[in-house]
Amino acid sequence: MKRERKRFVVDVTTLVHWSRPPVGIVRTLYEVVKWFHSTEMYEEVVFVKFSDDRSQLCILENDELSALLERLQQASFSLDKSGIPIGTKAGFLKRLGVLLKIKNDKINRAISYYQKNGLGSFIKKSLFHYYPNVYRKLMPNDVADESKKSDNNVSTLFDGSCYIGTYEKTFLRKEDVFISLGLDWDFSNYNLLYFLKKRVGFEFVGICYDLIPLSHPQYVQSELFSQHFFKHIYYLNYVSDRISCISNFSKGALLAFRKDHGISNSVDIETICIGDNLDECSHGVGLDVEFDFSEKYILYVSTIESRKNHVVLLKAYILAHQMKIDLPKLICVGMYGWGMHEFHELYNKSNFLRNKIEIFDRVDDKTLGQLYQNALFCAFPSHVEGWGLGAAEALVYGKVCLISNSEALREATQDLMPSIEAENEIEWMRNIHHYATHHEERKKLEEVIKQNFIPKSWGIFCEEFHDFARGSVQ
Amino acid sequence: MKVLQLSTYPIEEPRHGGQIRVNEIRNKFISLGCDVLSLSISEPSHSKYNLKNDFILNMGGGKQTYGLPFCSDLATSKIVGSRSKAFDFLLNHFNHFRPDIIMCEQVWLWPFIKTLCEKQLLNKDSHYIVYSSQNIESEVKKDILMRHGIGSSKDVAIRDIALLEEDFVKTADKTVCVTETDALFFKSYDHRPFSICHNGVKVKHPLKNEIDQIRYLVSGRPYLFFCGSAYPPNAQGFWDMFGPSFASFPPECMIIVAGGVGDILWNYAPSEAKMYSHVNHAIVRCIGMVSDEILGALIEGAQGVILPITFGGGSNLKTAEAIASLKPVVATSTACRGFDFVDQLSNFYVSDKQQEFKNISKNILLSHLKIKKYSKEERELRNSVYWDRTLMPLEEILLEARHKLNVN
Repeated sequence: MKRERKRFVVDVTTLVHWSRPPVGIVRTLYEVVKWFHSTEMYEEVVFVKFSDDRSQLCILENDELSALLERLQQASFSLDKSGIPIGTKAGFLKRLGVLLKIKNDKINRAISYYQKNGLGSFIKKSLFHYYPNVYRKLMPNDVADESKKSDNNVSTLFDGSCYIGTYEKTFLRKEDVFISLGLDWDFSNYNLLYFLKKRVGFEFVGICYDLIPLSHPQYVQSELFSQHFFKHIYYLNYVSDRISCISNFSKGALLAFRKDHGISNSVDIETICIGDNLDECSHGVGLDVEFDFSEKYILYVSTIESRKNHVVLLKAYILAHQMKIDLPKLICVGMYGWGMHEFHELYNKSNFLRNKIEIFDRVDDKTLGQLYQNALFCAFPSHVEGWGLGAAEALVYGKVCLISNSEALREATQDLMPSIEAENEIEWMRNIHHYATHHEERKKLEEVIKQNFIPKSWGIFCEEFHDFARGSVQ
Repeated sequence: MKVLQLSTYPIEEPRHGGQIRVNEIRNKFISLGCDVLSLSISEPSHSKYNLKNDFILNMGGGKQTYGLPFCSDLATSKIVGSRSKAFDFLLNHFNHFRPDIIMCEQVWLWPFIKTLCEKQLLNKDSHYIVYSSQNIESEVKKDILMRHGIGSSKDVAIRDIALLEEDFVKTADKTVCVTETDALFFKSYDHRPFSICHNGVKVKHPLKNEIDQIRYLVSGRPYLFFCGSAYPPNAQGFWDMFGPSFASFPPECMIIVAGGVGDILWNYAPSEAKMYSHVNHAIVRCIGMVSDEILGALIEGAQGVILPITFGGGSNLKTAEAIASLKPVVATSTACRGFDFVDQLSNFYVSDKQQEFKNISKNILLSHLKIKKYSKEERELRNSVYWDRTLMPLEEILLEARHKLNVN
């Protein structure tokens, strides 16, 4: 039987918009794109991106994609002594914020907005926020347009995406498999893809990282985001022929979502756990601060945001300090995210914590590997996870990782690691102290990892994902 | 014969069910050779008035009299029962017009007629008084207030409405009901026979232009059609029957909501619907008031019509419209009140269970249900919902009035 030659269409829009070392979701997309780009395969592959307004898809030329991957591989920056990147516009904004004594959360939000929308939009938004009357004078049309919006008109039936999807020309064709794995709620247009798919008839393969913004809306930046994310998951269910879930936990959550909302279309949903090895070819510049790798420390690698529960570690350290218990140094690696008010309150007010806990951002894989290698052990106290890449990476390096009782973290560490109630700072303190001082206990657990933990390379993940994306046709 | 028609809304541009009914009754009397004067004591929220015949009463939602929301009609009844500008407006017209038949639509303006009788400005023997009821107002009001969390403070208002209704039924020469169920209820007040005039529908033939316009705007997306006024049971029923999330409907599907109900629909959404609002707004499209021509085109283009009414009295005029449309219909049993023959209709589904109602709606939208062809008998049955048929009992009322008043 003749094998049908499919064409993979891989959406790289998220990578185009990303300017940091690829982590988490971006890391997964980056690995898949790299693999599809470099692997000889029977199928044709094209890489596409959405226009800034997300109304159009265009194909990336080969050299454009190579340049993009190269840029991301080198996307680490030198940090100054406060951990602020040197020689970048974002770093400049951060330093300016420090100078003007603007709260860290606000600076991070501003930087994130700037990185997403560009300088023009950043200035426009700042002007609107701080000097609305000046803004209205300068941009009267913007304000007038807002007031024109009205719901009560038959023309509200008109749906731009639907129209484009129904009538416009497209390079997509029936034998295509459209692959989308990025931060799609921000950078894709599933509505358009849905209507294009209905017309053209291609296949769509998506991914479900987690449904945390819906199950735990308290851990996302706003109610609006949860609403936006709900729409994303809704479309993911309807546009997809196949959905890969990064853990059984995520798959369970997705199936529950479908049941709760009466979604009954036919979709193949499978768990394909993501990879956990670091990129040894990383070209980053390492840490630009003096760091003594011979010093004893424990490591927590994760975005620094409220869901990740860094606060419980800070509280555990304060408690230990009060009880005159000496804990090893804590190194946190990750970019700043949302909702760190309590973290900053505790951290900035305490000389003890500032001496005991160090935070590094934009660390390349090579340096991260060194950090894992030299750590006493790792911690991952997150409230809830879709997987827990940092915990799995720790085990790849043979390091013990104390995890919270989050279901996906147990899955990522293959049920081999001690789990602690996420909110219980006393237990975190006791366990950190225990594994820092009882070397034999730690060694025993390291042996368990050595004997039982099955690591998974990104290459294997990509192969599995490729087979899944290709579907049943051989 | 001169007919004075009294109501609490203008009929200059009939939009909601009540207005349409009043207007159709007016037309029916005119077609029977009567001289008809239609007066109203109206709230200022309507789009068009006849400044000569409509008295606009602004009383801030009627809170002054009962301190309750949704009671401006009851407050109106208090105002027209004693000397006031509204009373004088009606009195002047009454004296000038000198009607034979006084037909009061709903119970609210009955206190005016009663006061005329008491003050001997009106001799009951030389007039024929008709109470044209639209539902059991005391029961509906109780239901609405309870569903808005209003407790015992409503009791006085409910009692007063019930007294008004009882008094009017007992005093009127004839009471007209919209359903047999309402007539049965009123039987406890009075043993004389009641007339039943079901709500009806006008023959509509949508124009090609409007049909094309709708076809272009929906770009091939299948949709269900829901039309209703800004009457709380319409909005509440919608959420009762669909629940907080519309995610079970694929993205190409729409529920197009026309009429005033769209203005209040989202206010009645359950709190958990907030999380789903982006999807819900993509599926449920409120388009506000539309012309009769567009309305006809919207029904013509729909996969089906939904009637998700879960409480409220009387009969739903939109049910008649749905029956006449020949489209598949999903309705609650409440929406079918007054149309007992719906169980004989093909492609007409009645369910009061949320999941079932939703599933049938989805299956109609996605063309998963086989559409049965209509027999000649069924078409005839469906034709019984047109106004010219439903208002036939008015001919008898006219005869009775002539007989009482000795007019040829």
